[in-house]
Amino acid sequence: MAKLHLINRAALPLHSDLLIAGAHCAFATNSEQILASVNRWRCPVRPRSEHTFEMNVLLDSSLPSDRDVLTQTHFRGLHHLVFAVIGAYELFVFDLLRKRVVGAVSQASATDSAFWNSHWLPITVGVMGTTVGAVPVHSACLDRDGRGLLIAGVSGAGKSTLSVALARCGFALVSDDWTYISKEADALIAHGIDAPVKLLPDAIQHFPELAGHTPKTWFNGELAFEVEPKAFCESGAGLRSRPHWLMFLERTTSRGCDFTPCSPDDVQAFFESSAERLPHQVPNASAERSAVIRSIAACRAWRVRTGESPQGTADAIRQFCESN
Amino acid sequence: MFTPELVSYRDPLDLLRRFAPTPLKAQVYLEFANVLMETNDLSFLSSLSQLGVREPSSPTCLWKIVRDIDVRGAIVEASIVMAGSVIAYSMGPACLIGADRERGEILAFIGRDVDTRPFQDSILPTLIRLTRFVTRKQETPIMTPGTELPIGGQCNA
Repeated sequence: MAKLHLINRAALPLHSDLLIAGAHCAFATNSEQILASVNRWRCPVRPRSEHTFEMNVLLDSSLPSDRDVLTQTHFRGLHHLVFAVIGAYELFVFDLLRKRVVGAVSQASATDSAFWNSHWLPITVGVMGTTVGAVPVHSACLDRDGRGLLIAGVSGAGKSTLSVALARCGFALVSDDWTYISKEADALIAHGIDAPVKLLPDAIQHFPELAGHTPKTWFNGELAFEVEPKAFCESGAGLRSRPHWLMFLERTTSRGCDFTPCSPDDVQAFFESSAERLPHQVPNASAERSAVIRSIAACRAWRVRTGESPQGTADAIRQFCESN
Repeated sequence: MFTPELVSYRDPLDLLRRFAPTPLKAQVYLEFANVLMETNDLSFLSSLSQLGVREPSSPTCLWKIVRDIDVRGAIVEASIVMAGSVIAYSMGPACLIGADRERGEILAFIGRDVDTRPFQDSILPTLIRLTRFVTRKQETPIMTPGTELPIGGQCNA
């Protein structure tokens, strides 16, 4: 039997304003459980602006609940539309042109706050953010006394492991992987989403306490531990900071930790190339993202080549930041 | 089956396969619309020959159909989300279709294991119904009496 969901926002009885990584979401649903699951993102009612996207979610209790979010979620996109299927029946469509997300979910998703907070809302901001002024950039972010440290690098460079090490030596963790950058009164703000930290299996050699955890397979097929930030970070997690330092992490086999200034052109080239290509149907999003990346490139940036352990690298970075 | 060109999705990053090339183009004339089809798989074009060729009519609808060689498996029962001028129609990862009435577009990914039979029996009729929706011949194509698709699920409209 096919499942048809006609989703009319005006007929969804429960509305709430959410603020997720600097993006304003006008949320509507027919489910008290879903509304409770997204409660941590609620913000005071605010007028819609160019930085608002709409999200309408229908709970269909007849949908089967036997789905696994991490291994049975499938994404594709063409033009301005992005599709996501979870299991066999749960379906979302992200419309970048109209800044609208619509979906139908099962009871299992409705009651699973981790689904919303650790996976679906972060993914939603990842897909929609560029259209509403919350530009996702592939970097970790830490905060020290209101000043933000962006840690960039290729996948596998050790950004998450270093982030945890930095969080253990006085920095507050904002994000370990993707950071959302917005502009407020011409100042850059880096946002995190307090999502679990993903640590690759070899991180266990640096953090023995991971021995009690089991790695999971993620959307991209990667095997990784999922750890709540508060489990590691004595400074706790911060949700925003002002980018001040930018470091590109590179691993070497040589001992020591070396800081070399990095040009704005190199910074811009890195972030442009590590960003998902955007369709030409949303040209403003591409232009705004490039503008944000140019602003990031104006931060002071260094290439950090390190052969030290994560803790040793974190100590070197802390000392470097104290004098720069 | 025609083998679509292998494309790198890492550099530049295109995880959603938005930029999968669709170099094959054809014009198809349905009774109620002209369809401009773009695809990367010749077998889809072959399937359209059963529709016959009729007199050109208007309006025009774009079909962009991507053979998704990274997706294995068969189509499953349909799940449909409709909101405003957009319909998302899923038969699992092996068949994802989006229809946008305002833009006159139907966009689809079809998995590598979906061969001619399920395409002609299940997907092509769906594409035609969605084309009626896109060209404003029907308000809700899936709910038309007489269609073979059973209806279930939720409606809050």
